[in-house]
Amino acid sequence: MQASRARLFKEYKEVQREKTADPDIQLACDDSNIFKWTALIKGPSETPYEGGVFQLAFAVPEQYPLQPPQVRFLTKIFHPNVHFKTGEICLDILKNAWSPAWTLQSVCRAIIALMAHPEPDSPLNCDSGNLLRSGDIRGFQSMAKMYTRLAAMPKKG
Amino acid sequence: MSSSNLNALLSEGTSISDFFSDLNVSILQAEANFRSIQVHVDSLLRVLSLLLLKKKAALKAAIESLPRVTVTAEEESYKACSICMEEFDIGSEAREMPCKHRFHSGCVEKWLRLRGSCPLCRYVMPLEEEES
Repeated sequence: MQASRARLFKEYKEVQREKTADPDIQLACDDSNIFKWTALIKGPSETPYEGGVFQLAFAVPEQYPLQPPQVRFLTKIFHPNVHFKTGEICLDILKNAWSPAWTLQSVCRAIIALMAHPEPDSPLNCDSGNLLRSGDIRGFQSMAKMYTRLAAMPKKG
Repeated sequence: MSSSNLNALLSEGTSISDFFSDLNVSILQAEANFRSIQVHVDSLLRVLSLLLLKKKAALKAAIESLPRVTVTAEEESYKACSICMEEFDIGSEAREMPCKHRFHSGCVEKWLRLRGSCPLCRYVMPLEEEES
């Protein structure tokens, strides 16, 4: 069997076995394609993303785990390191700091950590980065909170 | 070893040859400690070439010279290869990096040919000159 497929199958079994281990992450594999995954992650507490649930899409390359998965936000999010339109994420471990010891689960954890600790100096969302860099924490938080409410929370009927 | 230690050893009737074999052991230990520090200093220096010179792959000769070790039942900490996540079979062969992390031979060779750092601790191997 292809190395990437075998490894993803291992991760799939691990995810099934440890379903309750990390209540903030729900990883699921596409029914018909083991190279396509989605994750639901909870916005970390004491951040403007608290209370929101954010969906991530994973596209895993054939050379995985030698190459990192491509991950993007499907849920709109206002964050300096996430492209506002495409959901693309700027995170070193998804690029040149990738190591095959990372798993899809640990990548989710790294993204949750990035949500809690934005890096305004390498912004994909300049508006968001500029607010933080100019010290307008309140402005940043109210924008981020508004988009969390708009896009990442279930609509109240 | 200080001279008071020396006197104590001698007065307790330790023979000179015992004393020198003890001394020899401490020198060997000091050398081993120094070598293990040296290994990490070398790695740190190579981090710079990774970052500044855009070198990436590990030197072929360095990959080939990684020791082949046999996996034994006691080695709980090395249960699975973190590249393929498959458990090591007892008695099977693994490759050990200078940082002591172990992987399947095929797994780690493929990775080091792309990027010369340990998947677990980022220890940097001697790097290939960048071909462009």
